[in-house]
This record gives sequence, C-alpha cells and structure tokens, in this order.
Amino acid sequence: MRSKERSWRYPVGIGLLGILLIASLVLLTIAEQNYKAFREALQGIEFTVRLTLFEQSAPQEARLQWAVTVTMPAQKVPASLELLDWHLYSADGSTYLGYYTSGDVQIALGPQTEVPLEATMRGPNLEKLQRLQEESPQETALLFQGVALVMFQLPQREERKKFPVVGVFILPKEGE
Amino acid sequence: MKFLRWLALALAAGIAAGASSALQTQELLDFSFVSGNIAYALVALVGLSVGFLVRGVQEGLLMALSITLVGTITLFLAIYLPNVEIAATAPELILRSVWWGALSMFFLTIIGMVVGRILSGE
Repeated sequence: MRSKERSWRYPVGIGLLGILLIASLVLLTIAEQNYKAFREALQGIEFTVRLTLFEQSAPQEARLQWAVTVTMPAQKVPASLELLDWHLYSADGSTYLGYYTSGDVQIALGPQTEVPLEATMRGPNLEKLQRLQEESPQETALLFQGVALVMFQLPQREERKKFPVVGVFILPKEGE
Repeated sequence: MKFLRWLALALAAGIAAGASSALQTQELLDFSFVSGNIAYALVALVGLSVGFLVRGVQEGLLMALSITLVGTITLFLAIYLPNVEIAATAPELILRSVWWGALSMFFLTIIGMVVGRILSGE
C-alpha cells in the first residue's frame, strides 16, 4: 500500500520541479532583459533642439518654432513623451525670455522622433529679445533650457522620468 | 549515488527557488510579467515538489537549508550582475533584497514541503 502511494510522488515531484525550473528561469531572463533595455533607454535617450522658424508675426509678436529630436537607443520598452516645458535665456544666461510649455501631449517615441514645439513671444519678453538683437552686432544666440517628461510602459507599471533638454540656437538677422 | 541525487535535487530546486525569488525583488519586480505574490507562490511550489521527493523531517530540513543556500547564491547573482555599478556604490540596497529573499525562500520552502508531505499522506 505504502509503495503504491509513493509511486506517484516521484514523477509528480520531478515533473513539477522541472516545470518550475524552466518557468522561473524563462521569467527571470525576460525580466532581466526588460530591466537592461530600460536602463539602456535611460542612459542613452538624447534630445537635440534646433530652431526651425523665427518670424515677427505682428508688430508686437514674434513666433518661434523648434524641432526637438528624441533618439531612443532601445525599443524594447514602449515610451511616450508626455510634456515638455522650457525656459528661454540669452546665451550667457543673463536675460530671461520666458517660460513655455508644450502642454499635455502623448507622443509615442520611436528610435528617432521629431517633436515640433512652438512659442509666441509678446510684451516684455519680446522687448528684451529686441533689445538683445539690437545690442549684438552680428547674431543673437539664445539658450533653450527645458525638461521633458517621458513615460515608460513597464510590464507591472508606468514609470515617469524627467530628462533635461538643452540647446543653443542662433536667431537669424532680420531679412536673412 | 544517493548523494549525487540529493545534490542534483538541491541544485535544481535551489536555482528554481532563487530565480522565482528574484522576481519579487525591488530591482526586478516592475520588469517581470508576474506579480510579487505569484513569485512567492512559485517558491512555495518548489517546496511542494521537493516535499514529494524527500523522506523524514531531518532530510526535509537539510534539503530546505540547501535550497536556501543555492537559491540565495542564484538570487544574489540575478540582481548583482545587472547592477554592478549600484552594488559598488550602495551595496546595502542589494543586500536587503538578498536577505529578505533568503528568509522568505527558507520559510516558503518549508511550508511547501509540509503541504507536499500532507498531500502525499504522511
């Protein structure tokens, strides 16, 4: 009776252990690969900013357009850009030209994604910019200093990370 | 021959328990497709399967200790290797996960073994 009872235990025990060994190693390998891809994405994500348009749209209004290019090294972790806000300064940082934001956006990030940004400058900020242009004999260099909020879709939850976005760009002289 | 069988069982069960336990650590939990509770259940299931294969309280306890030892080494390697830089600057973060993993592994293996022995009618 006892040996009959035992007879099923060994195949069940060995079979269950084998399945658990394979399942746990597969799950661990997948988790490690996701973790590695996420860390590579955090370390390798790059933002480059370039000015695409600068125009005096009205006597007291100027329109600026930028293209922010987001480069992602690994595409195993789905990610999307949720917000980008930025401050504008003169290149030496002495003149502050205002705060701007993209507002809430939801842009899926691929290996290389271009995000268009726009700002309209009026009032004191525009006056400061015009003064800077008058003072500089040749070109006016400006500093774009922003923060991008990127959401990563992990298997168990969403992780939001902030990344600095910095760029210097040259305003074309009037008539150029 | 008996020792080799015992060693193979301890290694297989220890690696399975350690890998399952690594899935519930703070470092890997968000990146795993299974929740922390399922990871703990996997460890207990390893204990259950071993419970079908061992005889006697003493052998069971020795096996639980061996599984915990092999499992702790597996767990340490699973979270240390992808975090070598973090381990160099803040080793306490990894050691905390390893300590908790080893403790939970030992008790869950014992609980699983007891259930296995009860199910097998002993």
